[in-house]
Amino acid sequence: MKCPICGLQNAEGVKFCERCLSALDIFMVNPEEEGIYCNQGHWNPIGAKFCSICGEPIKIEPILLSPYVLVEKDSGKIISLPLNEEEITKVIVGRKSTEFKPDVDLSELTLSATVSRRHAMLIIDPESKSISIQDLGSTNGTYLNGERLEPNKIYKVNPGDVISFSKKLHLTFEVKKQ
Amino acid sequence: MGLIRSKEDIVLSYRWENSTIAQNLPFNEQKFLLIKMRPINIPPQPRVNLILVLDKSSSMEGEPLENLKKAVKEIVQILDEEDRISIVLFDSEARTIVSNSPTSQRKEIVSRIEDIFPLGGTCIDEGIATGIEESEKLQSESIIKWMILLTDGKNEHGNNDRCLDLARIAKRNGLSITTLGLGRKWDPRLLEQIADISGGKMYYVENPKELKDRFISEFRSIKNIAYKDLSLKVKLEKFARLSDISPAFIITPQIKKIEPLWDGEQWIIEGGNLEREKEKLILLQMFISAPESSYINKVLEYIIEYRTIFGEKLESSAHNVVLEVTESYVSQFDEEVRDALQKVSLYVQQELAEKLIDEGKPLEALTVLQTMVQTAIKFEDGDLKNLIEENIQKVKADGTLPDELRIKTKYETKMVDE
Repeated sequence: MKCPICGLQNAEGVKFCERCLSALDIFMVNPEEEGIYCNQGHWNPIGAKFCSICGEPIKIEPILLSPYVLVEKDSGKIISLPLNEEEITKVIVGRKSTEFKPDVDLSELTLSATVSRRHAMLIIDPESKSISIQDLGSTNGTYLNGERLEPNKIYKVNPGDVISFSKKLHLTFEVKKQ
Repeated sequence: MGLIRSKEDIVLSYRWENSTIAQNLPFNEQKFLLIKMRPINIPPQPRVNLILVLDKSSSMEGEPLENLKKAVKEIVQILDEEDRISIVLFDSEARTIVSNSPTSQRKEIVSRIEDIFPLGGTCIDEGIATGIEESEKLQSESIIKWMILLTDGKNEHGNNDRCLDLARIAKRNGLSITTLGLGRKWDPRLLEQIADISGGKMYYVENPKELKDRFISEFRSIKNIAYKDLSLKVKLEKFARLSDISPAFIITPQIKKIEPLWDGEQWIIEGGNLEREKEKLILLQMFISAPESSYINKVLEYIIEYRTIFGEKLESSAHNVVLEVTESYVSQFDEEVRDALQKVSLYVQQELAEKLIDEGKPLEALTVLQTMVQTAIKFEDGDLKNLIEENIQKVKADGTLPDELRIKTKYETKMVDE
């Protein structure tokens, strides 16, 4: 078997690549075993974020709680905004800490260090269904299409607008059809 | 060969990944053998001829140099009466400020250390060359020669190939070189090769404040050498052969790939030194053709040849390594061998990932790094997992790896125990 790691063509019966000693048996899986497949069709254990064979990210479409999402510009990561007209009309966007968990947690993103714990609030108007944003006095500021928002003031957000949590972390606001 | 049979100074044992082999397999069976050595009959502490080769280039100015001075002064204080010390400074040239001096000259040595002034570029080979000259000033079989080389930079005014040639000369002269890389701008591949070739170790010193502890612990570990110049001699039965590609690795204290030498009858695998109370592990990869029958099968015979700290050459008695032959395949995997195997695979994969990056193949490198994450998870080593994930993010973002990450990752995958 050809080693998927270093490319060495190994002899029959070899369980660890003779050159790089990578365990080859992890690539020889029982197809009935539960798992997920990458875009190239390689099998991976459940929970894998990257394909262990081709290295491509494994994209799992998140289960959307609402049609409102933020999409990270660099990675394409989708963050669902659990807003709806009946119950949840306001969500706090921020970075989780041991004491505090925001409604929308950005701490998984690469540049999350620039996000305040309570960074901004997104609000839905139950009647017009329009969305607006309010900066909650964050350290690095909130930007709408590049313009810095005045703290605690409410601004309307339209689909396609870029919301930046600090000058570096850019997310696009989108409304997905369900 | 004029060898004296030892009174068993070293306890030897071995483990297979699977101590059985099935009869009549259609292919050669891949086997891993872990040979373990631990010293008993601890001799007195050796005399040490210590050669410090120190980078004083302009980048050392301030905190690095102040901490280095403190570290070296501390070493001078803890030297034993019988020990010797030389201090060589280098920038783009090298100069000896303390030449093969006894501890009776402590005061003079300390004042020389105080006078070190940072200036100039970096030529590591000049430092090593001058250090080797110093090491030759005292000729004695009963003293351990050891160089500690410290640098915070790349070999910008020197030649890396010459460094490696000098490391080979050092090795022939019985001089080992431990390399210390300070900060985040040195060349981990070069310092690793110098250490591996000469039989020393490589360390990463992240913060100048750690210099003192690192110098002291390295000096103590030299002082703790119980037996030196170990070689493992292996006579294989006809049906067994060592892997041609990755035959042997030293596992502790740092992972190192070994190329065994064939002397016409047996394989010789150099194992370095044995320290007090520390176990040395050597992993061998071999292929065995399936035996037709028989209950227990001797696969190989090995002995350990070594020197005492007084230079006397000794050898252990011969030990047989056997496998149990079974009718059909028996599933088992020794945890200790698996552990060693996974550590080696992380080390080899890290080298491979770096090579792929340098060849401009970031996607292939990502595949390797992702496998490393899986292994780190199996080890429950969260720090290593995070470190490799940091590698992945960098490769994805920039297609390459910064020096600092290369240094950290190489070091973390090479280091096994402290």
